[in-house]
Amino acid sequence: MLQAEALGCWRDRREIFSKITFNLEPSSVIMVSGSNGSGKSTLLKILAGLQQATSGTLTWQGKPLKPLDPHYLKQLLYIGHKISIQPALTPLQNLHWLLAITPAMPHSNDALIEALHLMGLQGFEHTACERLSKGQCQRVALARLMLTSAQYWIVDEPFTALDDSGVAILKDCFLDHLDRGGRLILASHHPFETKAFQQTHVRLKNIC
Amino acid sequence: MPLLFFVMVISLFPMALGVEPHLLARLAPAIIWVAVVLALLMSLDNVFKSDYQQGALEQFVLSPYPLSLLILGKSIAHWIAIGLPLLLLAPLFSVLLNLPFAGVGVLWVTLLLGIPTLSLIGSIGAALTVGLQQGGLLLAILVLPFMVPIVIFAASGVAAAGNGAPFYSELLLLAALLLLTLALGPVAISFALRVSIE
Repeated sequence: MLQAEALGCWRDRREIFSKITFNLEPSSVIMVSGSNGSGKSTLLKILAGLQQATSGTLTWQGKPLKPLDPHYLKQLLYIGHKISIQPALTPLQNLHWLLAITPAMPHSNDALIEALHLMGLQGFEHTACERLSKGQCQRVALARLMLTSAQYWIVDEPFTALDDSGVAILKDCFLDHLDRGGRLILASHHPFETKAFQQTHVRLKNIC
Repeated sequence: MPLLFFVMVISLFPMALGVEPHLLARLAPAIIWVAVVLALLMSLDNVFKSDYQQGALEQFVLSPYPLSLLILGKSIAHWIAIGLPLLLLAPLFSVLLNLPFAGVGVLWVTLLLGIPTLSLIGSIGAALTVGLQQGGLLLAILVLPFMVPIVIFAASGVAAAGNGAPFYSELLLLAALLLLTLALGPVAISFALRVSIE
């Protein structure tokens, strides 16, 4: 279980947010919302361990979470604002290298192709990503969700650049993950409501 | 690109110095090594830049595998793309500079030992400056002083071999420096990358 206790972050002598407290249980969602510049991405980076909170504590499995603890990283999938797709590589090659360095289920080449098909990228498996649209690149990045073995998903604004069918596929993917007992931290302007699973809202306000 | 640059710099010297084969032969080790350093510096600015901009570095940092090993893999890829071609080109162009035949073999060994050392040292600087918009010049200023010892040992080793003097101590020193940077470089680079990403 991941617990945040009174997390706060200052940058350039300005408080971005403070007193963020939540518990992340199995099969539950943390929805982070707030206007532009309210610190959503910063909060997600802190939860992933890419940045340090200036105040408050993060507890994981009953112990304070060390920055970049390999045991935590084995459970973590972070898809940030920068989606980490190499433009010169094809969607298939991108998936291959991303799954090689992050926690993944055992997978074959066919499984990757199938995941790309499920994301609606039939026929584009071998096209360099620089020739794909932004939404298609986003789909390539999100195809990782279908093959990861991580329990903790931290996803930053995944719905941007996706069309309606992409949004629907992604929501199904999130629901499957929650159904398997997974945990999801999601920053989005797009509503994601589930009746079946526990949902905590974290609303960030601009503090000036 | 860096390879083409290397070729151009080397070819510029015989043209600028005119028909002076003896002078050229004396300068050859220094010219080749300076050209190698400049070509490497050009390539180093981009080692981590695109990975940083596309977010791949975040994924590297968040990988459960040791970051320094992933970095070592990247360094090996960089060596295959830049170091290996330099290693193949340099002996060819040493003929253009009238380097004595005895020196060519030693030049090759110094490049074999020196290029990975230089690129690892340079990658530390590249990791530190990766978040800056115009980091290229700063990178050169940061890492050039640390590259000086390698250039000194390598060029003096090649010159000594050309004159028939002993050169083993220079090669051994280069080998020692390579082992040192191979052991500590990836660790230093991974620390620098973690700092740059925040």
